[in-house]
Amino acid sequence: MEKLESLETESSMLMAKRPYLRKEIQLLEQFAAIMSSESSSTVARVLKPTILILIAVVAISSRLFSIIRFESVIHEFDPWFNYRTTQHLVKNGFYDFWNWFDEKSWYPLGRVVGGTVYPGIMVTSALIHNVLHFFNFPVDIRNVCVFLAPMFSGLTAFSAYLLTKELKDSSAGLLAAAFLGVAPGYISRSVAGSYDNEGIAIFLLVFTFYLWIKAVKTGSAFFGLLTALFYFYMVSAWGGYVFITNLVPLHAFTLLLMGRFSNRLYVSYSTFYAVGTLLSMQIPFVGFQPTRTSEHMAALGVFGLLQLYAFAELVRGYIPPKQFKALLKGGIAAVVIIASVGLTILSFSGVIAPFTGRFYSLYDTGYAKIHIPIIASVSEHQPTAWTSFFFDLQMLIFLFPAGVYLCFKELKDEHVFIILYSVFASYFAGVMVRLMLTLTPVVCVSAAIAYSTLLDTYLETSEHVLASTKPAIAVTPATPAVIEAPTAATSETKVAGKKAAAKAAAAAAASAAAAAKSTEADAKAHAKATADGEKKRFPIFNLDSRMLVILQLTWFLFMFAWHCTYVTSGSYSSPSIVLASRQQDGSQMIIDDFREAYYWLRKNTKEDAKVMSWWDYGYQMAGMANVTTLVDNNTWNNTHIATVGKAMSTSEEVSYKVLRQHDVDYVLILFGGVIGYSGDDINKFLWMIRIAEGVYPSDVKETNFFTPRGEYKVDHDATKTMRDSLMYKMSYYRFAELYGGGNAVDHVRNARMPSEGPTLSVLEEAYTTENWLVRIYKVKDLDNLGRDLKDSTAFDKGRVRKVSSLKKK
Amino acid sequence: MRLTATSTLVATIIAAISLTSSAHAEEFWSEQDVPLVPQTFKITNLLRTLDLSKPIIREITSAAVQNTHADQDQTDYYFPVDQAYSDNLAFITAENRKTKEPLEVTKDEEFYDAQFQYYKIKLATPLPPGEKVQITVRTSLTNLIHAFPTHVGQAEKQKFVYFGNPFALTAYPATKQKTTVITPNNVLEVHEHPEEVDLVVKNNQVILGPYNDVNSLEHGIFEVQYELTGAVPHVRRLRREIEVSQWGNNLAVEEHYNFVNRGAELKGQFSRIDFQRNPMGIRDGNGALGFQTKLPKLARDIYYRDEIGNISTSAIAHQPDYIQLMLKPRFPLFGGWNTTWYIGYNTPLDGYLRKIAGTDKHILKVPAISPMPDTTYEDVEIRVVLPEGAKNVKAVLPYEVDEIEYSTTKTYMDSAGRSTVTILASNLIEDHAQDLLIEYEFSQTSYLTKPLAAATMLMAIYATSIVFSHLDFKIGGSTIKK
Repeated sequence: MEKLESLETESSMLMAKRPYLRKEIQLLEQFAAIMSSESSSTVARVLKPTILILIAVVAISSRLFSIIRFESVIHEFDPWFNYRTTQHLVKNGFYDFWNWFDEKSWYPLGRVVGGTVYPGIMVTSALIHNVLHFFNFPVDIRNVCVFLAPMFSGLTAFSAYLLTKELKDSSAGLLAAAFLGVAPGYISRSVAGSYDNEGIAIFLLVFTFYLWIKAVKTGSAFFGLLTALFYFYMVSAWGGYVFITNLVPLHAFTLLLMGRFSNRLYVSYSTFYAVGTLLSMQIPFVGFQPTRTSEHMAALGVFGLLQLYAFAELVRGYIPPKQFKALLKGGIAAVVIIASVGLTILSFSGVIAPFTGRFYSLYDTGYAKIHIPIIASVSEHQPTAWTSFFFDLQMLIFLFPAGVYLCFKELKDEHVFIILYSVFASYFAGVMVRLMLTLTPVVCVSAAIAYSTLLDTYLETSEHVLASTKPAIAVTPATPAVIEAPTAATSETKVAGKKAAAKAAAAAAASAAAAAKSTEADAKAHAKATADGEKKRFPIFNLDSRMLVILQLTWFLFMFAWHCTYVTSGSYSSPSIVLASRQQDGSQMIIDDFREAYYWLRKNTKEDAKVMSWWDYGYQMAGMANVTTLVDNNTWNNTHIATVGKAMSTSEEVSYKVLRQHDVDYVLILFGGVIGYSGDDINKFLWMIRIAEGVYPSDVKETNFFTPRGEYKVDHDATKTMRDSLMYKMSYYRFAELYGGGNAVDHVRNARMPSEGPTLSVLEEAYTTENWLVRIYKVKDLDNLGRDLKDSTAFDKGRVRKVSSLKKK
Repeated sequence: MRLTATSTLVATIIAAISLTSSAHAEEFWSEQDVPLVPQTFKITNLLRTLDLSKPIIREITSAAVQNTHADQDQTDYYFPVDQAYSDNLAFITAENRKTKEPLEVTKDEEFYDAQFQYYKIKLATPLPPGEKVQITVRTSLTNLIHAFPTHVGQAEKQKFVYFGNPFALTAYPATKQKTTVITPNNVLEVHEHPEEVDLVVKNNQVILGPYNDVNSLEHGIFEVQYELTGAVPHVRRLRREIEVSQWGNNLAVEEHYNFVNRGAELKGQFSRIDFQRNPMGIRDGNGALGFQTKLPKLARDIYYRDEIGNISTSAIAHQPDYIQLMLKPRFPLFGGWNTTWYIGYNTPLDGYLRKIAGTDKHILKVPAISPMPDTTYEDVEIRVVLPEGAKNVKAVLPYEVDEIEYSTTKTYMDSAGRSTVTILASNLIEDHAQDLLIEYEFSQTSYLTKPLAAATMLMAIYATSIVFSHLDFKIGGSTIKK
C-alpha cells in the first residue's frame, strides 16, 4: 500500500474539501495502484491467465444446461451423422474411414463418406479419444463428442482475447473473450451435445484471423505458415472456410488499394496462400476446387496481383521513373487483358466452375426459393429476422458500430481487417440465419474495443493530475474542489505530470476491464496514448458523471450476462430428440418418442431393413436406428429426395411402385397431431410436394393440395389429392378412433378431422410411439394370389365392404 | 381322456419331430435301459411335482429310499438326468426331507454315458443296510416349453406346450411313484404315450399315476398344453461389471443386458390404438411392459441407459431393505421382440469388503448376479475389477461355472493395471444369485500408488512447461530481451 502514498499526497488536498468522496476515490486508486506498481506485471501475469481460465470455465459451464437437464446425448440432426462417422473412425481406424463407402445411406446409391465430408471434427474427437485412451482414461467416444464444442468454446474465447489484444490492448482482449464466451449467437451452435462442424470451426476462424493479423503485423513467414496450417484445419472442419478464403485476400487487396503494400503483407500473404491452398487441396472434399471454382478465384487473383506489384516495386528500383511509368502502363494493360480474357475463356469452357446455388442465394435471398427449394426448405438458410440480432447479441449489437468506428479512428492494417470482416459478416448474417455464427466473433471483438475505450475514458484516475495541471479546463459547477485547488501544486506536478499520468492511466485501464492489464509494454503504449490524449481528450473530472456512466455500463454487463444465460437455457439447450414439458404438478415430463421409435427399429427389424422417411430424419435414423435410409440431411441428390417426396405425396398405387422399386421395408413419419408438436411431416408436406413437383411435374401438382380458396387444409375441406396422398393417410390412419370416432381434433392444425379416417392397403401400421409422434408403417409384400393389394385388403376386411361395393353397382 | 382326432394328429406330429431330433430316440421305445450306477438302493415311494406355472420349470422329486445292499452302508445316491435335457438343467439341489438339511450334489464323472448324466447326492450320514431315508431333489429346467401356436395376436392368449416323461426318471426301481403336473391355468389338452398310463386331469393339475413297480430309467412321453400369460423373459447375454475402489470406499456395478421375450411371437404388427384402448391386454397376452429388479439399499447414482442414451421410463421405489427398480423398456416387449439396456449404480464398499485382521487379506462378497424374477440368462460374464495392487486373487463360487479367468485391466490413471477376475457362466436363473467370494491381498502401501502416480504426472507436465518456456527458437534478431 506504500505505492498509494504518492497518489494520495497529490489528491489529498483536493480531497480535503470533500471528505465524503474520499473513500470512493481511494478505492479506485487502491485498485489502480495495485496494478500500476512495478509488481503489477507479476500480478497481471497471474491475474490474466486466471481470468482467462475463469472465462473458459464460464463458457464451458454455460453450455451444459442440456446435460444437466437431460443427459449427455448428441443433439439434433447433423451431429448424429458426425457422431456416427466418428464412431466408425474410432472403431475402424483412419484409412478405413477415409475409404468408407456407406451403403446404409442414400439407398441404393450409397455415399462415399470419406470424400464427401469435412473430417476435421471427427479426426479431432478421435484424436482426443485415442490420446485419452493411451493414458488409460477410458472415456466413451460419445462423451468426447458431447463435450467437444464446449471445450472448444473455451479456446475460442482465448483466441478472441489474442485477436483483440492485437487490435487494442489486453483489457479489451479480456472483455472480448468474456463476450464471446457467453454470446448466444455462438452458443447456439456449440452447446454440449451439439456435435457439429461449427463447434470447432468458430475457434479455428477466430484463431486463423488472429494469426493472420499477427502475420501482417510482423511480416513473419512463421506466422504466415501458422495461418496456413490453421486455415488447413479450418478447411478440414467446415465449409465456411470460404469466408477466410475470401476475407484474407480482400484484406490484402484493400491494403494494396490504400497504398499500404509492404514487404510484411507480401511475405505473410504469399506464405499463407501458397501453403494454405496446397494443404487445403489435400482434403478430398475440397480437392481441386481452389483452382477451379469462382469462390476461390479472388484469393488466387490477389496472390497474382501481389506478385506483380512486388515485381513492379522491384523494377522501379532499377529503372528511371519516366520509363517505369510507361512500362507500368503497358504492364497493367497487358495483365488486365490477359487475365480477363483468360478468366472468361476458362469460365465458359467450364474449367472454372461458376458459383454454386448456395452461394448465389447469399446475393439474392429469393434465388433459392425459386430455383432450389431444397435449400430454401432448411430453416437455417432463411434470412435473419432483425430481432434475432438482438436476441443473439444483446447489447453487443449497439456497441458493435462504435467499435467499428473506433477501428476507423485507428486504422492500422489490422483495423482495416476488422472493418472488412464486420461489413461482410453483417451482410451475410442478414442473409442467412446460420451465418449469424460468423458475425458473432467480430461483434464481440469490436464491442469489446468500444466497451473498453469507454471504461478507459471514464475510469481514468489521471484526471486529478490533469485537473491540477490545467485547472481552467476543469471549471464545472459540480467540482468546486477542483477550482479551489491550490495553484502551488500546479508547477510541482507539472513536471511529474506526464509520468504520473502515464502511470495512473495504465492503472485506470487495468481496473477497467476485469482488472488485469498493464504489463510493461501495455503501460508504455498507453502512456503514449495518454500523452497524446492530453491534447485531444476532454477529461472527465466529475465523479458523479463518471459513476453515472460506469454504473450504467456495469448494469449493461449484468443485463448481458442475464440475457445470455436466459437465451442459452431457454432456446439453445434443447436436445430436440427429447421433448420436455411440465406437468400440472410442476414435475418434468419427458416425451421420448423419437428414441422409442428409433430403438424399436434398431432392435426389432432385420439388419438391412430399408426405411423411407423425409430427409430430415435420415441422419438420426442412421445413427440411432442403424437402418438403411433412402435420403438424409446431406442433401446432395435432389432427384432422390424428390422421389421420396413423390412417394409421400402421391396416391397409394403410384407410391407403391416407388416403394417397391426402392426395396423399402418401412416408412417412417412424424405426426404431431396428438400432442401438438408442430414440426411434424404434415407441416413439412408442402416442401415435399414442391421438391417432388420440381422433378416429377406430371405426378405431383402443388395446386391440387390447396382448396379452391387457396387454403392448405387437412379436415373435411381437404382436397381429394390431399386425402389420397400417402402422407395424409399415414398421418391420420386410425387417428379418429383415438377419440372414439367423433370429435377428433388435430392439435397442431386445430382441425376437426372426419370421423371416418383414411384406409391403407399397401402399407400396414408397424409401430406407433406412445404419443403418436412417430409412426412407422410396413410396406406390404405383393399379394400371394397376385391380386391388387387394394382388393386383397378389402377382401380381408370381410363381407361388409364387399357388399357395399356391390350395392354401388 | 379328452382326446380329439385333430389334437392327436398334432401331438403325433410334434412327438415325431421331437423324436427325430434326438439321436437316441429309438431306444426310448425299444429296449430297457440299464443304469450304470451300482444298484444299491430301492425306491419305496416317489412323489414328483412338475410346476409349469412359470416359464422356468421347477421339478421336485421326493423319494423314500431304502438301502438294499446286504451288508454295506451307503452314502452315494445317484440322480439321473437325460443328456438331452442336461443343457436345460439350470439348478439342482437336494435335501433330507425330514431334517431339511441340504445334501451335497455333484455332477458325476464316473458313470458317464451318452444318454444319462448322473448327479451324485452324498447322504449326510451313511445309510445302514435295510434302512430308509427320504431325499428331495429340486431341479430347475429352462427353455423346455414352447409356444403353440408360435404366433399370437396382440392381447391374444398365448399357449404353451410341454413334452415330458410321465415317469420320474430314477436310477433305481421304484415300487410306487406318482407325478403331479401343475399348470397356471386350466389344462387344455393332454396326450401321453404309452397310452395305457393312468392319467387324471383336475382343473390345473394333471396327475400321472400312481404307478407301481416302475423300472429304473423308465420313460415314456406325455404332452400338456396350457395357457401361460405374460412374457417369457430371457437374457441372451448379461455382462456384469463390478469395480472395487478401496480409496473411494465404493463398489460400482454396471450390468449390460441383451434381452428377448421368448413368448409366442407377435402376429402381424403392433397397433398403438388397440394397445391404448386395452393396456391391460398385454398382461393376458405375450407382452411385457417392464421388469423389476432389486438394488442394494444404499445404491446411489442409479442409471438406466441403452445405446442411444437414457431411458426415461424407469422408476425407483425405496423399500425398507432394498431399492426396487422398475425397468420399463422404451417400447412394450411382445413375443420375439428384442431390446438391450444397461443399468449401473454405486454403493458403499463397507458392506461387501472385509479385511482379515492382522493380514493384508481382503474378502469381497458380492452377489454373482442381481436377478430378475423368472428370467433365464443364457450367457453370463461377470467381471470384477479389484483395486490396483491387489495380489493373489482367488474367486470362489458356490456352483460350477464355465470358466474363471484372471487378468489385468488398465483404467483411469493406472500404471500397473488392476487385477481382474472374469467369470463366464451359462444358463443361469434367479437361484444363482448367490454370493461370489473373492479373496485378495492388498497392502497398505498400495494406497499410495495412485496419489504418487498423479503427482508424477503433474510434475511431468510442469517440468515440460518449464523447459518449453525457456526454449527460444527465434532465428535472426537478438535472443536477449530488451
